[in-house]
Amino acid sequence: MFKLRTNSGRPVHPDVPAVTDLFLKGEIDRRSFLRTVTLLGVSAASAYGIAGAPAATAQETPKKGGSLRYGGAVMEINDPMMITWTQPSNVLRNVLEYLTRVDEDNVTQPLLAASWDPSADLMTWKFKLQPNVKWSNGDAFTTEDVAFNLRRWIAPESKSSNKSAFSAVTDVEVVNDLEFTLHLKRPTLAIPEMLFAYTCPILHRKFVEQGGVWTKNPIGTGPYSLVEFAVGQKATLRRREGYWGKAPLLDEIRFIDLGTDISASIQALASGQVDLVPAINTTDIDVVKRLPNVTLLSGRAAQTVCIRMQGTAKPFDDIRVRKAMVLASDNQKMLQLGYRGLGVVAENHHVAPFQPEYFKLPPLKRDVAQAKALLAEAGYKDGLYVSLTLGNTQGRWEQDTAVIMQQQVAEAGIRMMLDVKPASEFWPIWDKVPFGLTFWAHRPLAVMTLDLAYRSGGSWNESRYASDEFDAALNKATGIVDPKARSQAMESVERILQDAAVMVQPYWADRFGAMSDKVKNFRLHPATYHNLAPVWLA
Amino acid sequence: MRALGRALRRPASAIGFAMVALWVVCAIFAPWLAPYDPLKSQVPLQMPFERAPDGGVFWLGTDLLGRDILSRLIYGARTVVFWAGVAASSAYIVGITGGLCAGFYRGITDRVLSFLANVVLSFPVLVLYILIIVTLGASGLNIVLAVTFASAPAIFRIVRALSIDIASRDFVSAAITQGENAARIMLVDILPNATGPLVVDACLRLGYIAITIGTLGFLGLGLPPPTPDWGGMVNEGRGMAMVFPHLVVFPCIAISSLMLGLSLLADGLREASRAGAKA
Repeated sequence: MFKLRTNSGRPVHPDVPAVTDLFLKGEIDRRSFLRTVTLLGVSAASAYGIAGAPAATAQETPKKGGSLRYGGAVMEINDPMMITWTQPSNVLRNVLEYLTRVDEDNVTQPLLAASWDPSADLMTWKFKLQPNVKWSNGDAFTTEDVAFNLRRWIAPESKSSNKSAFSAVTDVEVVNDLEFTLHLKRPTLAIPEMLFAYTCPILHRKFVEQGGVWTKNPIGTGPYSLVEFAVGQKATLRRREGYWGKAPLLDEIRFIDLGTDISASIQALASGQVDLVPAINTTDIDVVKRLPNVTLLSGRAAQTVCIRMQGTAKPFDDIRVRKAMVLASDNQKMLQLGYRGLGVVAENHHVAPFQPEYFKLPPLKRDVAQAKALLAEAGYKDGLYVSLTLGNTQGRWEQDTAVIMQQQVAEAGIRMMLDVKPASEFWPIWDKVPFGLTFWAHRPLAVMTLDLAYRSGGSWNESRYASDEFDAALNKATGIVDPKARSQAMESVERILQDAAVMVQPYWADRFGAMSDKVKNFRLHPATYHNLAPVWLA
Repeated sequence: MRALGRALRRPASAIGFAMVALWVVCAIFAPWLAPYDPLKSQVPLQMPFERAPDGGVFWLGTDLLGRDILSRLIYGARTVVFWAGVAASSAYIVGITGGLCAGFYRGITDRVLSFLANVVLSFPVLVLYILIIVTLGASGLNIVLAVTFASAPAIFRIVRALSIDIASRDFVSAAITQGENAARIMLVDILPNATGPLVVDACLRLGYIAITIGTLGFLGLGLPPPTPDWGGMVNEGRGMAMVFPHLVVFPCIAISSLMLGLSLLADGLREASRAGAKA
């Protein structure tokens, strides 16, 4: 039988045989097996040896050279740990690198970290870095760089979302130039996966000393160098000689900002001004399908919109009002009409059915009569007036979804006004308004979002939800290795959140993109963390 | 009214009047004319003449959210006609008041008011609308404020010029000599003699304001959703216009027909006024 091996060459984690056994007995699926064992330090190659490699597709011989024109926003990048959109990370991802890489199949692979070995209790994680990695300024890449970054993320004064994400980390111990250890206060299986969050690129240890604005001094370990950067216009990357890893195929990548109007991006693609538009809306699908020499890209992603209510603000401080809002909403209809049915219905707890830790709760039932009764009990017998703030940050489908909900809650006597703001005006207030619609990007694990958005005091806790019971249940779930047991532990996490009626989360939105047929080997990443290294142009 | 009667004898003006009247009727009787609730989602992206689930017909198809386009156009007429009417009235009240005062009193009053009007007129109108709506937020009242702020100076100029001319005539001098108060002279002696050009201007201006409301809707600065708004409908449908042209064609026709109708009517009234003056 094929033997599992770790990237470090050390013995496998004690839980790996049990997880393998569950997979071989058919009790967990292939995806859960691959994901879990690679997180525990097993090499992806040996895991695929047991689970079976992905189906091979006919490959053309890659061609080196050429310039890829990528149609996407070129946004300001100062301190990469502070970015709040995934788009800037696609520019810097080719210049800076992460310790790990979660691929398009949600399998965590080594990148700057060559290997990791968690302790049996998942409280201590030993990492070993790739040898011979050089920064673009010639400095050697060492654990000093890694410690600099990790300590900045979790520092008391840190304003980065990484602070919440890595709140379990108590200490970063530098062992030598290539080895470091993370000490945690609670067991966490997803550490390697979390290190690929878009806010976690590894910066040079002198980043702060050198001004703290990355685009002014874009030192990186990645395969490309940033040669030109103009916010709202363009960013040009050129292949770097002497890259430590496998050399990329493209000579140049040009990010061209075509504004927020996706129709303009599609026109640019149709007229050959760009080669790739990685994010389009559902309203554009029919148009893209009719364009010659253009391929429609699609994929399932744990990206969603949450119509969340702040439990600290009136009238949502009364759980009966929040419950009435949830009971009056029909998530299935919102998916069908607001997003053309192109996704999966969500269940108001921010865990997707296709995320590994999901536990299936009984389906939600719409009950307008009960919603009315709850409102009457809460003192809103004659109806309730609320104003929902939104910014269409990803497209008009956010507003379309809200319009459908507006019709639904009206049946329960809730008059929901829509305060639609331009995206630029919405972002400064997204977590401040009492009632708002927020787009949440994909994360491979639900616990990553739950930590940020619903844990008491979480960095992006926009609903101001705080519950010791929820925090404890989440802590318990994050420390379980066995995917089946972990999913069972998530039952209480999901139930607590659902019962608290924190949000109406209508659906998980599939992701769509479009590219010219001359672009080869590009895969849509569920989190839009695109890997352009294997891409080539025909 | 006599001028309107004369204007309607011209075929072009009669067509213009009919176009405007059609949309006014739609606005007034929208609940009886619209086949469906304009906010109700039914079947998305139905083409014109497709059957509705209740056995009826979506004469102009449905939009992305499954709302009947014909019903939205009919109710949209209410939005345009009502808000354009209110906004134009508000702009005329401000413009006429200022213009009468400047033209009658002249001197420092005229200089101050003219200076203010020139300052406002020096801004590109669309930028002014966007600035006001973005600052105050999108609502019917704020559209009225924006239109008043941007349009009143032009009305002021017309009324001021007319008032200066009329105020120099003998009957006004006689009224002053008789000791009539200024407000009475402005409203009873000067304003009625300035109505001809103002009615023509009002027709054209209503058209521009309708276009403005459509433009603001198109830019996402119109009335808050889900209010049926012709400009907003064009904006919603433009991304899919290549595949579902009915999403934009019908709202565009609605905007153009109202604008064209008002222009034809204004032309007719101008011609009728000239003919009346010669007679």
